[in-house]
Amino acid sequence: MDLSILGKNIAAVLEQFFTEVETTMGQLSPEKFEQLRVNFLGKKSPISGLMTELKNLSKDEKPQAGKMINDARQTVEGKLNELKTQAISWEIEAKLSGEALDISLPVEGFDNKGSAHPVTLMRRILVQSFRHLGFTVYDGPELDFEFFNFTALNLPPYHPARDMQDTFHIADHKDLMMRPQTSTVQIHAMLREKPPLRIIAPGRVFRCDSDPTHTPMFHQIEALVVDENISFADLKGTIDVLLKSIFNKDLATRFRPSYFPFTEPSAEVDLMCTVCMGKGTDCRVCKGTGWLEVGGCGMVHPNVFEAVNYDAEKYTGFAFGFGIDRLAMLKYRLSDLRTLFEGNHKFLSQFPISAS
Amino acid sequence: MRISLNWLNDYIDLSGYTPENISFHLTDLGLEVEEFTKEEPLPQSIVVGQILEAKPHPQADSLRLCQVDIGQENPLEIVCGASNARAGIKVAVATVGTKMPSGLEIKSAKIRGVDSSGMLCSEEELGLSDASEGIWELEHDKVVGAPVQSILPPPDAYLNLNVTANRGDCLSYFGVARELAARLGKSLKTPTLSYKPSGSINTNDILSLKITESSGCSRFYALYVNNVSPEPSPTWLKKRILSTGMRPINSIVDVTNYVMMETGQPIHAYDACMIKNKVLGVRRAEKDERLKVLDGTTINLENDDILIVDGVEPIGLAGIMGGEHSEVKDETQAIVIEAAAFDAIQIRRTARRLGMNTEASQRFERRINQEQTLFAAQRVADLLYIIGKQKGGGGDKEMPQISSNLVSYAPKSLAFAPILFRLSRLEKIYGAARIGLTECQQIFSALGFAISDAAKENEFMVTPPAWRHDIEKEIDLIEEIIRHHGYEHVPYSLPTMAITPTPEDPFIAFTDEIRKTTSYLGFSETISFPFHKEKTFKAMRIGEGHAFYPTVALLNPLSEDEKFLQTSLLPSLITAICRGQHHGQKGARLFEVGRCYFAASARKTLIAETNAYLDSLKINGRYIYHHEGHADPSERPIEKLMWAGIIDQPYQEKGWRNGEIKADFYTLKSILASVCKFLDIGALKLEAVRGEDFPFLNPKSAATLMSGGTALGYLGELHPELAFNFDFKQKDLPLVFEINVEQIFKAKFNESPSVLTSIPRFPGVTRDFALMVDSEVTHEKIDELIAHFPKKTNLSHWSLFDLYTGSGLPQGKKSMGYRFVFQHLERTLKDSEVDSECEKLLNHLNQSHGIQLRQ
Repeated sequence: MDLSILGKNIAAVLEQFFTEVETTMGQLSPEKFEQLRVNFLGKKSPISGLMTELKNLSKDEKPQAGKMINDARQTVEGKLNELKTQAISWEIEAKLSGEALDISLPVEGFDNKGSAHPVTLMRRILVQSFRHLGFTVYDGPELDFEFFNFTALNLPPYHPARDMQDTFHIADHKDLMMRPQTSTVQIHAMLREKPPLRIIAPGRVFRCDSDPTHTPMFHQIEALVVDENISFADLKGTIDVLLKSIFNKDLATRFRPSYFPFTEPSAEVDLMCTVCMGKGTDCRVCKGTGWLEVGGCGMVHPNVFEAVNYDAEKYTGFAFGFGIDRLAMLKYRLSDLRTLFEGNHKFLSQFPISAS
Repeated sequence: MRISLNWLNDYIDLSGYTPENISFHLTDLGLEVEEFTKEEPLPQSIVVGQILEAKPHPQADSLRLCQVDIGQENPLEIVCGASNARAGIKVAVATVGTKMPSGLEIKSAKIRGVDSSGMLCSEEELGLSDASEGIWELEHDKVVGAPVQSILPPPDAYLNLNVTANRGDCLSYFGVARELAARLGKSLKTPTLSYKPSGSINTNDILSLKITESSGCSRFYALYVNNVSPEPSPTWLKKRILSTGMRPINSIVDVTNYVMMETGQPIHAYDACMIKNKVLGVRRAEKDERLKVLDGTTINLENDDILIVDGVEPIGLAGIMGGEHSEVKDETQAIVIEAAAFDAIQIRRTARRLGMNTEASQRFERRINQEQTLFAAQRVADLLYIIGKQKGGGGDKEMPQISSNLVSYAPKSLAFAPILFRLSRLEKIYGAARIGLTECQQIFSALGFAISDAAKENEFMVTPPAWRHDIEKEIDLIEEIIRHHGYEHVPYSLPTMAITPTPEDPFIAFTDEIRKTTSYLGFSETISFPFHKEKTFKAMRIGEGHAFYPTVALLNPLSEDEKFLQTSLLPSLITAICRGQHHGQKGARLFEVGRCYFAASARKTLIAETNAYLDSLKINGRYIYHHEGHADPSERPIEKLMWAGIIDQPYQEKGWRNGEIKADFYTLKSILASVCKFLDIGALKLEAVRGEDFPFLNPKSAATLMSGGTALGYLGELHPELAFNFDFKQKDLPLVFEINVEQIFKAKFNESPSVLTSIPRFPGVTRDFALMVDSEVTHEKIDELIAHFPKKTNLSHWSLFDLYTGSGLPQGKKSMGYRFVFQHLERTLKDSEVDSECEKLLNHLNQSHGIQLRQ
């Protein structure tokens, strides 16, 4: 073995390498590339084989021979590095060259996504808005005694104001009825907590009434604030801020004198029509008045405070109640109250899960 | 109450105010105007005419051929069918081209061969009355040719007032006018009496009073009027009666109604001849007494009803409706006018019981002005007198004779106590110091309140007038001031108070989390009425006495068969799905969260059970809010908050990627597992159901959800019989679940939060085995066996990856494929270690249940 033979051998290996590179070029894939690398740089490759032959050379020739083999190796490595970059880019290209997906294809079960009931959505909006103002949520029974439904709310027996709610009475239970208003919760809360108090009570209420605009069950949200210096001005301000935040619009509010036995003074709350923005003309939603009735409110009647042993001279407070269903109908532009309670999946599944 | 502005103008000068204006002020004073309508003026082409000649129609006996002078050169020839069409009378003529209030257009026409150019109008045709006989005969002084509208009051406007329950005084023109007068700074015009009493008759000669009922009757006046004739009322009166929504009857009845509208005092007129034994009295009814009232019905009286009686029998139901026997009839010649004050509560009781809501009862229930009762009786007589004069009778013969005295019962004068009014308190309630003492005094005076000085500055005593039964406390006085000052002037502010003083019940937030989670899992939330029919429970296979059989019923349901309150949300969900299927809907997924109602009745065991239930739910010694106020469960049914869902088939319809997927028990199980994961509720177990506990479930594919020893609810497929009992359109039955939210909330509280374990860094070794198992051995059993494998060293977890039942297996066997993963926290395991542990595990399984490796 001498250097010239080694030179020839190297030349042959390189020639073989380049021939294989040539034939592979057209179909270079990461697998082919890896094969090439193993074939020419692996443990059993010809170049590695040449290295084992170094021992057959004389001491003087060894450095020269080593350099020759190393050069050859570097040539191969250099070429392979070049190929590697190409192989990757070719592969990426191959992956991108196929046909694009039909992104319009339907996904199964799209109609079967869940939804929240519009009343639940509106309740969440209300609760969230009230929480920002420091209210906490309270609750009470749906079947309740006369004391909570009427007497403690300053509605003595045979008072004509009892006609304001057609109440469902419970058979075989004296004095028990389905609450016709969430105001009952005021009494439960005040009997349990000491002032100051700032609560809301959303819930179901029941009245024996059924026509296109009344259902025997509907939802109200009751708010109650009691402290030493709560005024009618605070009541107006709180309601105004709330309604603006619920509809996220600068809607005016109007307060009209009214009568509720448990508040004095009492007022009906009108909200500027959310559809025509108060213009009124030809608006179907507000029937041309520019205003929508959203609830009742007032200053807690001293008789109510006395019924729960609060000092009526020391404390003042306000309370108000809105119809959640009505607000939900406004928010979602629904025209028929009864659709809310028919359990029609097609109707219900249109609503989102989270309120915004 | 429906108000005519023309009529209102009698009591307050409204010139210069538009109906819109008045409407605004009334609404702003709390007398909400719900609706207002304006009357259209009569067309100018309807004019006053005089019939010059009336001949019979040559072709028809019932028709008349009239020559009518309407102030033009030639009289008009008009064919008229009215029998009162005669020469000399003045009439309203609609000339050709007139559009009548009914929309009819008058054209010249040939009627039975004769030209007719116009129409002679009746009151009804002009919209002045609801019914009239013949054509309208105008007073003789009307000028021929003048438009009829010019001799009528200006077109009226009508306001529908929503009078709140506290303001009985505003169920009258006086009351409404008084409010307006105070707001507009006008004076109130009250009518004065103008009749000349007759010296020759005396009520005392006709009757005496016998009031044995002092608690039910606080005022009673009777006034005798002779020489009356119950003819139809004059047009102006009929029109006003019509404007209130009542029907004109005759001048006497109409006048009593007129005065009721004017003053708020209900009044009744009796035919004097029908009052037997010259006695008029008030007493309580006796049980089983009966009375036939004006509308023709016979009512059964109860002990406490207040009656008007004569010397023999009841003649009227006090404050509600008069008796038929003594009513004013066509032949009546003398009447007794009764004006009285009756007990509000008793009138309400009786009226409610009998379902009789009359104009009179409405006013008595809201309490009337007793100081005005006498005046009202006299006012009726006065109006009869005025009408007599208007009729042009002139001669005393045709005028009603009015007794100079009344018989009266007025034992006590009514005096409201003065109430202290403090300016400082007004300012506290109002929220600012904006209203001065003088303004307050002005408002009170205008509303008829009496003011006197109090001991301190900026305070005074206020006495409400007799008609203001609603003023009881200082706060009521404050309301009067703020209301009349105007709610719109109250500023907007926000309360300043300590932050979040009230503790919140975590249960409320938890309930909403359940709703959200169920929605995320593909269910649409529904809300349904809790009322059910008995037959629905039958269809659910729930028999009487069963825990799901309803125990709470309504006394006054909307319809008799929907009187039961729900014990489960399932019937509503099933009904909704059935209805949807009929609309062609498939694969609906619905859920509801709502309360179910259970009465413990008087059974001791049930009461104890209910108490235990409630106590078990206490957190920090307090009930969940909606169980608030619980005294004794036998008195108050408990309300359990339930959460139920239903999955209609198919779970997923056939699509382009997948075939149709049916929902089964495991679909449901997986959903509930997700919910528990969402809500961080661990350690829930399923137990097989006992068929009788849930008769509406298929016991072969249903389970009870357990936490510790407590059942939280159920899940499973509906019982096959329900396919026949309900109106399902699809063959495959839906899957359902229902869980008690209170219990699952408690379970979350009781279970310690999931404990996290450290995660090994070294790869595990996996071994799969197909085990041949007896058919009845459950996965749970095998799971338990593996968990209790005594020589377990490196086995970390295992799962079922295959289940096979069918051919190729010995009878009564199934094949279950389990994957076992072995892991060591600090090193990689050697194959030999794993092999040896596997062998011991398989031995253990074989010894316990004869489980073998499948060959």
